[in-house]
Amino acid sequence: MLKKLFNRLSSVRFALALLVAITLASFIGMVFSIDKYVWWGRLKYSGLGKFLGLEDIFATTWFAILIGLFFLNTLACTMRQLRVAQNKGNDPQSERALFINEIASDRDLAVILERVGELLRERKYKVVQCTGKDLVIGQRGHFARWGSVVFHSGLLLMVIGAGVGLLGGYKGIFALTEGYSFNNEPAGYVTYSEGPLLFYRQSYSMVLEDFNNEYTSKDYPTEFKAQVKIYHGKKLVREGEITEFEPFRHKGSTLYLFPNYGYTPKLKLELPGLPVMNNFFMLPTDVKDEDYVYEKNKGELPGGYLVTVKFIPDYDPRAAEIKTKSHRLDNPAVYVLVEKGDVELFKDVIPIGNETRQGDITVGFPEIRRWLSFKDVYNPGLPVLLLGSFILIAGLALFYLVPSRTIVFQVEEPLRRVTLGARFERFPALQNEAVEELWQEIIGVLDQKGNFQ
Amino acid sequence: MIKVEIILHWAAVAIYAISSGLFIYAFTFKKDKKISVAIKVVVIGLIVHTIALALRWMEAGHGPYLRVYEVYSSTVWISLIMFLILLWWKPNLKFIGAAILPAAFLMIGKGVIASPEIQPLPVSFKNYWLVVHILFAKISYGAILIGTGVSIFYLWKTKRKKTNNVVSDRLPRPEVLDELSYSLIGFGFFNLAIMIIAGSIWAYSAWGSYWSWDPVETWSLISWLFYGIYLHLRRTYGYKGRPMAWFALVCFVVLIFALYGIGYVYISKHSPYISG
Repeated sequence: MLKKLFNRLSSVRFALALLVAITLASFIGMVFSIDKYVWWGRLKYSGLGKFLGLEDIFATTWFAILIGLFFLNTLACTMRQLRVAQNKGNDPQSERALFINEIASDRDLAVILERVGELLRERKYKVVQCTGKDLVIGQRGHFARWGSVVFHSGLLLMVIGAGVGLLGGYKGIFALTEGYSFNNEPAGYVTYSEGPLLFYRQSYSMVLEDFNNEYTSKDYPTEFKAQVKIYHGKKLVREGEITEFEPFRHKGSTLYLFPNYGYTPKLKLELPGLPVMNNFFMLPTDVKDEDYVYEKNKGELPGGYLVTVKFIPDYDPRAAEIKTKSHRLDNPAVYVLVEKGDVELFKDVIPIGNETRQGDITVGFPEIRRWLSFKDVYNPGLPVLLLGSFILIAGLALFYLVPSRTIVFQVEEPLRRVTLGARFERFPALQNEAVEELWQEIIGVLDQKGNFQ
Repeated sequence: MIKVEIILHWAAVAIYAISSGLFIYAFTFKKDKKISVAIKVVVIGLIVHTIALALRWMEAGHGPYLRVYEVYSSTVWISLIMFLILLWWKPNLKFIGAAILPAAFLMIGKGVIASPEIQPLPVSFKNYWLVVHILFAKISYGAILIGTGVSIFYLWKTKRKKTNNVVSDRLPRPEVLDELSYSLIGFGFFNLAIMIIAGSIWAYSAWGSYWSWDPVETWSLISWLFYGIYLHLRRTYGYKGRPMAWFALVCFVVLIFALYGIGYVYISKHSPYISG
């Protein structure tokens, strides 16, 4: 029963079927995850589409099962290949006789064999068996036969690494204003997901300081960087600079700085019937080429007040419209609109450090800070995945870059007939020329000694 | 300097066009001497092309791998270098230039009519793994392009053999062509694997995600799986000959779509520099 199961699992036909299935699933997954407005894209919202998880095939159970079967199949195939590779090493029987000649009967056989052995060694062959009687075996690139086993072992490790990362890791995205701290509780992330086998999360808090950036020639912000401090409890465990595309690693997870950023103006609001408020408004970035104004944030406050805030990094007071001259924080200002019901109570642009009063309402703009977006990733499977990748590459290199052949030079007594046989792991027609050259060299060497008729 | 570089690129296109004509003429009319001339013309074209790429590199401050202009030009450059290495290794394969050179000419021609404007290197590209990713992408595409060219000649040879066509007699034995195509595709598969892995490592170091099922990523995986099926059929089932030559052509179409097609159909991380 077990043997039958193993045979099924290790069948190449099954492997090919799985490769075709994974290829098809990848194609369908790609098309359905992107196309929304064409007829096939809408299929994912149908009953069957939802049942098959067409919206995100790569997160479905059936795709996971497919990858699981692929893993089992690769494992079984690798075990089978391992046996084949072990057996092939001691099998000179499968060589093909390529060249045949005869030698004079008065020559010393041992000397001829020794000379051919030397010639093979000079040509970088490993002479694995030289009986001194009638046979010389030379092997070159012998270890290449392990290429397939090594490649598939690497593939297995990659699947294991990916699985460990998915099941035992977590990832989340959060936004943080400079000067503020973030605690890595799941609720603190904007989006967060963790694997079902995650058994430990290192708790930490992070403080963001000295947010800075450069500007492109067209005045767009780029190359963000900031200083971060990581605390375990109250103990500072790591501090340093984080930049875009250069992650910040600390014990527990890796932090990536995203080029998502925005502004957090601090507003002082004095509204009738409410205590004075000093609030930070975290504004999402929505850069418009025409006016460069950072998107408004509409929020309802107690007392039925509706407050709209727009941030202008480089305010141009001479412009007729609310407009910024650039993205640079050269002349920051906020546009504030306060409404109650349909009544407009306050509307003005306030430069930084100023305060404006209209009727009963006073609005001040004492301070501007910026926020940055981060990705927090913990992937315990990564080292295995990387190791598997390098093993996979090594296996392929062995398989395709190392020409592998076994040469057998034999003298048959009493006919004194000489044969040169060869076994090629692959590419016999391409390698034949090399063996023919070797044969010519053998003839040349033996001719000098007058061995051939 | 940018104008000199553009002029040199156009000069390379013209030289490759001349070489393509010479290869086709020599192949069709059995003119061995013209083949040697065609190879010399390729070498001259490559020298001009190399200077053009070097000037562009100096001007842009980064390698030639952003936007269609640079991507096509550098892919052709690597493919032709590999073609010359192949000729040095197997001189009797010089006739495959009749397939390689026209393909190279068309590809670089498509590249130079695109916008030659220099794109500044995005911050995410300042990573050594990206260099590895791009280098091995070029090598794999070059190897597979030549392997596919050899498959086309194999199909030609095995079809025309029965009618005693003098042209196909110029080619090596069918089994040599078949194995050469197999070995070049295997070499390409190896390089594709490095390309995908290096790309994943780059993505992880830049975005914290080594695989995000981005359209170009997915299509590269699909191409790799196609070649995986091809190699399993050859290695395990011992399939060879015409069916595998046809299958190699199908795989090539899938692969080419990963670099030159999918970026036009779907928006991906790769779109700005392969379809721009």
